[in-house]
Amino acid sequence: MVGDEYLTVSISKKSFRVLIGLTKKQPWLEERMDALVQLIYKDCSSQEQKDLILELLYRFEYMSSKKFNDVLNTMAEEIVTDPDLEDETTQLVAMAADSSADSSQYILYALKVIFQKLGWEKYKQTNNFGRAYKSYKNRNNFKNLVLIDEFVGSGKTVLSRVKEIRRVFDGNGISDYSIRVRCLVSAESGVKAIADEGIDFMTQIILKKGISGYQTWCVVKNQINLMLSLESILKKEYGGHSLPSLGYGGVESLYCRESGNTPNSVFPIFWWPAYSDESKRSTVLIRAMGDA
Amino acid sequence: MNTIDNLQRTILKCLAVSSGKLDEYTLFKRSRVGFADFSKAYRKLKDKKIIREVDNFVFITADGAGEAKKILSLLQSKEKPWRQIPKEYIGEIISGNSQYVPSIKLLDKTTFKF
Repeated sequence: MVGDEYLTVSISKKSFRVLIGLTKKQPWLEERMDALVQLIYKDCSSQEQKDLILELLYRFEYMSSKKFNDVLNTMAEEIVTDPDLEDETTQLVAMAADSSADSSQYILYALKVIFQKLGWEKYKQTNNFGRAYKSYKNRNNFKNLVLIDEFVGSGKTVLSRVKEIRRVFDGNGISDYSIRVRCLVSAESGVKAIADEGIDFMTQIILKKGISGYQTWCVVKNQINLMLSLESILKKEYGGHSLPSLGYGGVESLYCRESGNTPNSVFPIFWWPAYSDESKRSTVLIRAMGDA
Repeated sequence: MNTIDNLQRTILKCLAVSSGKLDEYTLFKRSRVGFADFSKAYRKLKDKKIIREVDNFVFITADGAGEAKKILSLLQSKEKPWRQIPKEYIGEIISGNSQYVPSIKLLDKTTFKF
């Protein structure tokens, strides 16, 4: 069987060309060879499905630690040079809502040193969006809220956070405050959804939908169907979460950060851990399923 | 830091003995390295500008030629220090016509007629 080729020494020239082309563009796949071979040679049941998977992997935005650092620095510079923001009145708020660790808090922590280098010391850091009002109330200075997150998919989370913050502040009679949202990477659909609500939003990188953003509508239709048929081999439900077909919110994301948790708006074929027959999958991307 | 590790050396060696030019796939097969390791070492060699790739063909660069030469000279070296026997293990060399006492058991019965 073709999938076993990798396990012995003999990979055919054709397979080699395919794999080396992929690892040249996406070197991180080298660490996930078993999962990659399984995905391409076992999960895919037709050449068209295989071609689609290869096309999507080739298009993947995998953020290296170095790029993450560069992008984080640019985001920080944009905040610090915003003409309407000052050190003393700004509150950096992580998008996190509950008590589990969240990448928005990781970003907030990473920003500490960067902000110090850029000359900001007096601003407030709030590691949970629910505490934004409390931070404001303690000293009425921190009225310019900057909501921070690593990745925005459909934008639903951002919209609900902003709505809640407005509810609390307005409900307490506060009118002198502002909300900005800043993130590193956003799907196009998220950018639009947030802009439609008139929220001040900036992102460093914008990603188009993985399939729909790149092809003409008839090719899109065909490729979406291929992806749906690929998804049919996956277990429909896992740990209380249902399979987010085409990525949560249909966002079709192709993004992951090195050492980061895979966003659930990424096509589940790349990270869903179980097949429909309950057997485990070895996946090219990993997502912590505690809060899938 | 321009140290070249063993995997990279293996691949560079294969390329060097093939007049410095080889098809990617052939290089992979001849190196007998697993795919993931090959991909990694191959990329590192390219990043260090020791080799370059054009249209699926791999060449040793001018900079890489120095490294390749080191490896080739090791291969062609007449000296094999690991083959040199320490004095204390070399036995006495007996000259061709010197007398010795034979072992009767080992002598051919018909030739020596006993």
